[in-house]
Amino acid sequence: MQQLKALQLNQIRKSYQQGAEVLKGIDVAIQPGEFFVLVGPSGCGKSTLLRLLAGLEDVSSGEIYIGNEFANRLKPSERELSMVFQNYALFPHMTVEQNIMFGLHVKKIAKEEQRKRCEEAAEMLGLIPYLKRKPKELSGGQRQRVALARAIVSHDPICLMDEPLSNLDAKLRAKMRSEIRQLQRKLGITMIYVTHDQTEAMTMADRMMILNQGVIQQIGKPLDIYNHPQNAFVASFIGAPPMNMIPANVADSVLHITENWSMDVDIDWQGDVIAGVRPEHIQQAKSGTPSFTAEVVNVEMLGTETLISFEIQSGLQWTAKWQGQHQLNPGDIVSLFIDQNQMVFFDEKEKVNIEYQSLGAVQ
Amino acid sequence: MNIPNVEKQSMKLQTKGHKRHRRRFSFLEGWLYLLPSLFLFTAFLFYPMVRTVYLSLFYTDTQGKPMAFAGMENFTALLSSSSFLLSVKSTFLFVLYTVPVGVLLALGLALLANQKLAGIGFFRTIFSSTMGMSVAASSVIWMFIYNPSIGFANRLLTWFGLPEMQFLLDPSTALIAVAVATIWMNTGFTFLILLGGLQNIDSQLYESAKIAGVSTIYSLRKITLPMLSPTLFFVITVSMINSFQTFGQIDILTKGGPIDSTNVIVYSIYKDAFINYNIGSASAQAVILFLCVFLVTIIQFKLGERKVHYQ
Amino acid sequence: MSIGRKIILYTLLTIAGIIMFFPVVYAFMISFMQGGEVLQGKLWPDSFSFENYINAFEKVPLLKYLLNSIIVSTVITAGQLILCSLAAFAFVFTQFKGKNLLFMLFISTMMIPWEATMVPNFQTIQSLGWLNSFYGLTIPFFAMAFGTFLLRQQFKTIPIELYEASQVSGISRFKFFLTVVLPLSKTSLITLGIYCFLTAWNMYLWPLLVTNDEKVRTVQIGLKQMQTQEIASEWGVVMAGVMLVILPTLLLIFLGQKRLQEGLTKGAIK
Repeated sequence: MQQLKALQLNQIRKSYQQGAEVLKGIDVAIQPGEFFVLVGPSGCGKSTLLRLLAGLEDVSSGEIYIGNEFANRLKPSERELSMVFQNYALFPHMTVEQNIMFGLHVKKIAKEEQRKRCEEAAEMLGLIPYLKRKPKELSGGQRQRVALARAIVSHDPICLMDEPLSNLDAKLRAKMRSEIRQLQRKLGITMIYVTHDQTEAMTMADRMMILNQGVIQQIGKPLDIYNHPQNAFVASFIGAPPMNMIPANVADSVLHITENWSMDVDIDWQGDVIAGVRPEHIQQAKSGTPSFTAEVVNVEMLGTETLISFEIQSGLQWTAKWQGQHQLNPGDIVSLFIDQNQMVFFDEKEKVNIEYQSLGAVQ
Repeated sequence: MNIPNVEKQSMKLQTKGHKRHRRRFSFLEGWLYLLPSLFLFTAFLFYPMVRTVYLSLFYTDTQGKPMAFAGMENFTALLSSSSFLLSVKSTFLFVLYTVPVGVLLALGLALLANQKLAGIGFFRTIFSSTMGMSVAASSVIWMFIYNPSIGFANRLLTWFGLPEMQFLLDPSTALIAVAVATIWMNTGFTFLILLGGLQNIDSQLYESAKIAGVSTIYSLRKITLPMLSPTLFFVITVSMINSFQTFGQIDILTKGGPIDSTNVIVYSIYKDAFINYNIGSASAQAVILFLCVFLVTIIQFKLGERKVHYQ
Repeated sequence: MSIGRKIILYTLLTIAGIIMFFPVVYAFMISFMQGGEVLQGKLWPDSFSFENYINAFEKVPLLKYLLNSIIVSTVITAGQLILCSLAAFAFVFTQFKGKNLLFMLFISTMMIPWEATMVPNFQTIQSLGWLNSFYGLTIPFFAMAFGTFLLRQQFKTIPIELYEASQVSGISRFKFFLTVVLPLSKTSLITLGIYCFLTAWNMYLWPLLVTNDEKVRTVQIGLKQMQTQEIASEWGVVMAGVMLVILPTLLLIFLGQKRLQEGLTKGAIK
């Protein structure tokens, strides 16, 4: 439908007059046709980055390339992109149809063609029966679809989305997630999608970038990030329930976790570390495997899986996720087993995954 | 064997009675909170309004005591009195001079002051400052500005090479001169409300328009004005009603003159009631004023319901 | 925003600002001029001496008028805040038959121009013996529909759960009003207070009708009196009086402009 476009950011910085630097040197290349997710806790700078891309705000320093064109000084409308806002930014005084076609006249598109595109988009999103209604007569999900329709009628090669699902309830969110993903594939547009929800990021992204306090924490495919988090922040941010962590010590290939629990590990490290393990990797010990015991504090049964919280150290709780249903009660003592290969270690000072350090890939 | 049962029943009854008592108390309580306001509205708004209508149907003595039933006499006398008709004409002209220009001016200022610029707060304060200026103080200042020999207005005219004017003393310019002063006085309030309305418009709507690339004029016409329409309607209504009720600037600047050219209706009521002691006629004029304001409100309300985009 | 656009905007803002504020600055300058300077039509005084201000205080009991105005405005503001918040509370937090009807009644008060009722009101005040008294100047204005609506909007934003929680813990409704609703609405109350004070301070027609000596006469009427007495000769003194009258309210605007704008819009539109 249109030529695909890549995006390239070089050393993007943004600070406001009040002082604080919101983005501290962002470098990233986004591939044409990619679904790229910016994820991070609130205030990390992800929305600001999106607004810089859209041209709604100016960068303090750095370069933005859209396609192969230097885009720093382009107006928002010259960047050939569409944007879906968090609260949809629908015009309350216009009908759905008028909303969808808003601004098309600027692109010198004939009236006929405008109508055709509007119908196409409405068809795609199931909005045909609502074209003559005003936004206030629509449900949250329908409004969301109008916003999407508006983004696709312009046939721009890049689409930016700023937390578009955060105003929907959980069920609808899950549905829209897959709908947006399918739409992006069908149209073949480059999508840059901002969210604070790691589930959204994991389920939708081709690649994602995790931001914290204006600094890139990691860029990569969701599963790579999940399995090989660059640092402790990424490890705890991605995955639910979050990765369990504990300060520990490695001496002569023995990991001392607590007073009465140590295990052999096969890592090239001496001294203090932070040891981490995902809940699904804490298994029920079979007889004969090295194990440790803990007292169950809380049990959550979800049907297909069971979440067991236990105290590993006074004041520090870990959670294990077991498949299936397990009849356990608070107070029960359980034997647990962790495969050393499933553990992740972060150096105690910089909180960086030691696997990356030995590769010399510290960022 | 039956005793516990009875006990239970009586307990039930008790709670029921208690509940009923509480509901009645709540009913009274609501009225209690409203009582002071209701009392004052009755004493100083509803009663005098009814009384005004009543008095308008009577011939009165100089104390305002009804002497003899007049029926519509007061009204028919007014409608055939050239001075009253002139007063009505002046009032409508005054509304016509002040409202459209005043609202447009304030809208222009509000659009200017709604930009995100350094130091914009300073300009907003300046533009809204006339809200803090009393009618009396403003009128005195404008009286000096219009002073034929030493005022600034004539100096400005001379500077542009135009002949000097007797602004407040010439029947053909007095009403316009008062209107200009009034527009200035009212700008502060109108500006403040319109600016508030502009700031209530979601900035993402403008950003969306920016990405679509529409022109400034287009987004003013298609986004700002429609979204601002409830505020605009409110401001137009309030300005019209205020304009109908103009008194202070007339009293200080012209006293209704020259040759009754600025004798707007409230000033005319004041003169009839408190200078000529013709209470019956004053009351009839007050009833007409009420009807005008009532009509404006109803029209605005009906139009507003149909045309205005509430979210 | 491009530089060119910025320059245009700042130019327009400055021109508009100068025009809007010119009368005030003009009056300020004249308040320092001697009679001769005024007659020459100068824009800048030869020297900034406070002679006119001292004269203003001596020629009319301006200090007394200012004090009267402060009393009247403060009492009206307090009265309006109390009555409006009580009424708004009833509209939001109590249920009773006829509530909607009463609300319509409150709305209808906005359609009655106060000037249409001034003759009987004057008679009422006269028969109560309240002419030339603070009662007559203040009490008729305590009830106010606009203020009630503004506070009603604010009270509606207080979550009903807070009310239910206080009911569960057995706090009386009135105590809930005092300890929860009022503190939570501080901003709106201040905004409304500023508005009430401005309006009361600037009242003209009613004080003109019900005061005829300096015991309770407000400063606005004092100003009219000055202007009629001093007119031809001493414009400097009159303008000094003007500056003194507008100073308190201008200060209020300078301090509360933002608040006022947000608060009034809330009451006006929603």
